[in-house]
Amino acid sequence: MKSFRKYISEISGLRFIYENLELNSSAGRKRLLNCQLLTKEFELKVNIQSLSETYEFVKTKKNKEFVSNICRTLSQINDISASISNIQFNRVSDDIELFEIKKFCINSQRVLDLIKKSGFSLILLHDLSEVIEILDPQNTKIPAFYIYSDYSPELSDLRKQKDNAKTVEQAEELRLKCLEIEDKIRKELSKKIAKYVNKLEYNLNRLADFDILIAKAKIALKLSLTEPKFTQEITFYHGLFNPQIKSILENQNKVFQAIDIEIPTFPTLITGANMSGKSVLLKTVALSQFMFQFGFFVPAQKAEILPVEEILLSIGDNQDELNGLSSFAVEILNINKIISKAKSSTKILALIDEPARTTNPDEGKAIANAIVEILSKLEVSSLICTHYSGINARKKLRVKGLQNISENENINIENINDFMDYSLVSVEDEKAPAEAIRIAEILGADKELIEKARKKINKI
Amino acid sequence: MPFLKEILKYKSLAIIGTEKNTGKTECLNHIIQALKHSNKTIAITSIGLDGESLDQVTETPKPEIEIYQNTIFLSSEKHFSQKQITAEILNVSEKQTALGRLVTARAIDTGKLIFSGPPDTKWLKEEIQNSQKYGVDLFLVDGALSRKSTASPSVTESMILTTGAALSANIPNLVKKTKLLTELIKLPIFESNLIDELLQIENGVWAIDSENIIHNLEIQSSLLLNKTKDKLYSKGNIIFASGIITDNILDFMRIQKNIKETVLIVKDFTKIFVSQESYKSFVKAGGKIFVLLKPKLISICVNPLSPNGFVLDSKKLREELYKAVKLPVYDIKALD
Repeated sequence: MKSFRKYISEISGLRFIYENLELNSSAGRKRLLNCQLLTKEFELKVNIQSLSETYEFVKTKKNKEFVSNICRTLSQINDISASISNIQFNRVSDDIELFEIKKFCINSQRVLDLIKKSGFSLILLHDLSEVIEILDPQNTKIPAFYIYSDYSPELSDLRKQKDNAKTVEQAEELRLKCLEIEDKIRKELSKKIAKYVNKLEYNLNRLADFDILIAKAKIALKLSLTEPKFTQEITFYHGLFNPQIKSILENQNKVFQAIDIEIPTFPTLITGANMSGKSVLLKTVALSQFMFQFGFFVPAQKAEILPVEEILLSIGDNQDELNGLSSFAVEILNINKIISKAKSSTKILALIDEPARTTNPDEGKAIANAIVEILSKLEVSSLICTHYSGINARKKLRVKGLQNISENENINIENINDFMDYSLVSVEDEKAPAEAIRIAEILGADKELIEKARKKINKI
Repeated sequence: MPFLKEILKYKSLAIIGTEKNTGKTECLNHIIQALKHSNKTIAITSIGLDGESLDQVTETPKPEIEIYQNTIFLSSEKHFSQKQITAEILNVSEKQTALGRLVTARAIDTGKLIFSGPPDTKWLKEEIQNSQKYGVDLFLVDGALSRKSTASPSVTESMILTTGAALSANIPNLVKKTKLLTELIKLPIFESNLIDELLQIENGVWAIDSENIIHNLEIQSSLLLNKTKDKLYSKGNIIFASGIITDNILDFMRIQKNIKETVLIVKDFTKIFVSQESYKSFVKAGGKIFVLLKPKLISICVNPLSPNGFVLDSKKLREELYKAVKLPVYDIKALD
C-alpha cells in the first residue's frame, strides 16, 4: 500500500494541501507522511468524527489561546521513536536519548494539563510524571539532562575529588572512575524507563495525531473545506472546487466556478469542448476522494462520498514516457489495471481522461466504447471524459462550454475563461461538441490553419 | 586583559583567523579564561569546516578549547559524544549537520573540547538568538576564513581578527594583507529593507532595479562571468553576488562604462577573495562595494610564530600593524 508521502508527488493538488498544512511537530509530519489510505468505513468514520470535533473546537473563538498554547507545546514534540525503540530492545540509552525522553515527557505532561483545563476530551494521554521523576532527580521540571550527582553519592564524591585533583594523572583516573559509575547509572535508568516504553510510544502517536488533527482543522477553515458525509450509493458533490486553482484565480481577482456532480456506481461519460475543464474536473474528483480517504475535509460546499478500496487514474500527465513507453502504452497499462482491479471485485473509483485519444479515431472509439461497456458490466464508479461521439453510456454529461457570446465579442486566450460555463448538464444525444476549430482560433492559431480546417470539415 | 571591556559591550563575538595557525585558538582560550571569574555566561561554538578534528592543511590535530563550568557550548553529536567533560544537555536540534544533530549543553566541570557547530549562517543566527533563553551574555564563534565554509561569522556583533607569520613570513607583506582585510571588514552596510531577503539567497548573481525589486540574473556565480557578461547589467547597476567574489568580477566591472554607477553587494567580507591590486583599481575607478553584514572589528591579535618554526619580531609586527590599521593590536602570548 502506498503512503501519503507517495501520493503527494502523484496526485495533482495534494502537494498544495500538504504545503498548506500547519503541522507543528516532526512527529506529526512523519506520521502523516507514512499514513495510508483509509478504506474501512469504520476507520473513516472515526477519523472524520474526530476531525469534526477538533474543527468545532479550533473554530470556537474562546479556544483560540488554548489552541495556540497547544501548538506551541506540540512544536516541541520531536520524533523520538528511535530513542524509544532503543530502550525497547534493552539497549542502554546515551545522555542525548535520555534528554529527548525527558523533554518529550515534560511536553507531553504540558499538553495533558492543557487538555484537562480546556475540557477537550478527544485526545487521551498517559500520565508520564513517573518517567520525569526518574530523569529529574533535582525536580526542576526543566528539559535538560545529564547524569546528575544526585543519582549516586559515590559519583558526587568522585566528582568533587576530581575537581580538586592535584595532578593531571589523578584527575584523569578519577574521570575514568566517574565514567564507569555514569555508565552504570545510564544502564539503571534505561532499565527503569523500559517499563514505560508502551506508554511513551502511545503518547508519541497520540500527540502526533493531535497535531495532524489540528492542522487538518486549520486547513479546513483556511480553504473552506467541508465535512463529507458517507454514502453507500451515489457520490455527490455540490459546489466542488479545486483548492489550488481557486487560490491562483483568487490572486488574480477571478472566481473559480464550483461544480455539482453525481458519481453513481456505473460509468458516467463526460463530453465538452477543449478548455472546458474536463481534466480539472477529474483531477479535482480524484483529489477530493484522496482527501476524504486520508481523513481530511473535502473541497466542496456539500459532499456525500462512497469510500472505495482504490482510486485509479488514467489522466495522462505522468512521466512514463521517460521510461521508454509511449503515451498510448502508458494509458493501456493504466486502463488494464483499472479493469483487472474491477474484475477482482476490488471496490474502485476510476477516473479516465480521454481514453484511446492517441491512436486512430476509429479504433480509439472502439476501445473507448469497450472500456465503458466493461466498466458498466462490472458496476465501477467511474468518470470518463471523451471527445468521441457515439459512445454508449447509461449516463452522459456535457460541460456547457462557451456561453452568451455576442457577435462582436473579442475572445482570446486571456479572457476565454470568462465566457466558459463549466457546469455540467445531462444529455441524451450521442454527439460530442465540435468546437475544436473555434477554440483553436480563440487561442490564436494560424489563420490559414483555421480556414483550411473549416473547409475540410464542411466537405465532410 | 586589555580588550575585555570592549568585548563585553557586545552580545556576540567571532574570532576569525586570516590563515591557519594564526593563533585563533589561543585567542579564544585567552578570552574564555579572562572571563572565567566574571559572572558572565558565555556560549561558544565553531563554524570551522565540519569534522575538522585534524587541521585540513597541516594535518596536525585541531587544538582543543578549554571551557569552564557553566559555559554553554554547541557541538554536533559526533564531537559531543567524544567530550571529556560532564555536560548538561539543554537542547538537541531536529535538523542534522554532517556530523549529526546539534547539541546545546552546559559544562558542569572544566575541560577541553573539540566542537563543530551550525553549518550555515541562518542556523548560526538562530542559535545566537536562542542562546538568550539560557541567559548568555557573550556568544563566541570560532570562525574561519574559508571558501568552503557556508556559515558566515559576520552574524556576530563584533569580531577579532587573528593574523601572523602563518599568513606571511615578511612583515611588510603581512601588514599589507592584513590591512586589505581590515578595509574589507570596514566596507559599509548596504542600507535597504531587502537585507533579510538577500541573505536568504544561496546561489547566483542578482540585481536590484530602480524600483527596489530583486531579479535573478541567471548567472550561476560571479566566477562564471565570462559566458554571461551581457546579462550582468540587464537590470541596472546594483549587483548582488550571493557567493564569493574574486578579482575577475572587479576587473570586468572596472573597465565598463558604467563603473562610476556600479554598486556591488556581497553578504560580508568573508565572501571577498580579491587581490589588493584589483580591489584598489576597482575603488579608484569609482566602483563601490557594500556588505549585508558587518561586525565591529575590535582588535587584531598576532601570532609571530609560523607553523614551520619561523619567528617574527612581535613588537615590530604590532607597531607596523597598528600604524597601518589604527586598531589595537595584541600578541596574546606576550601579554602575560
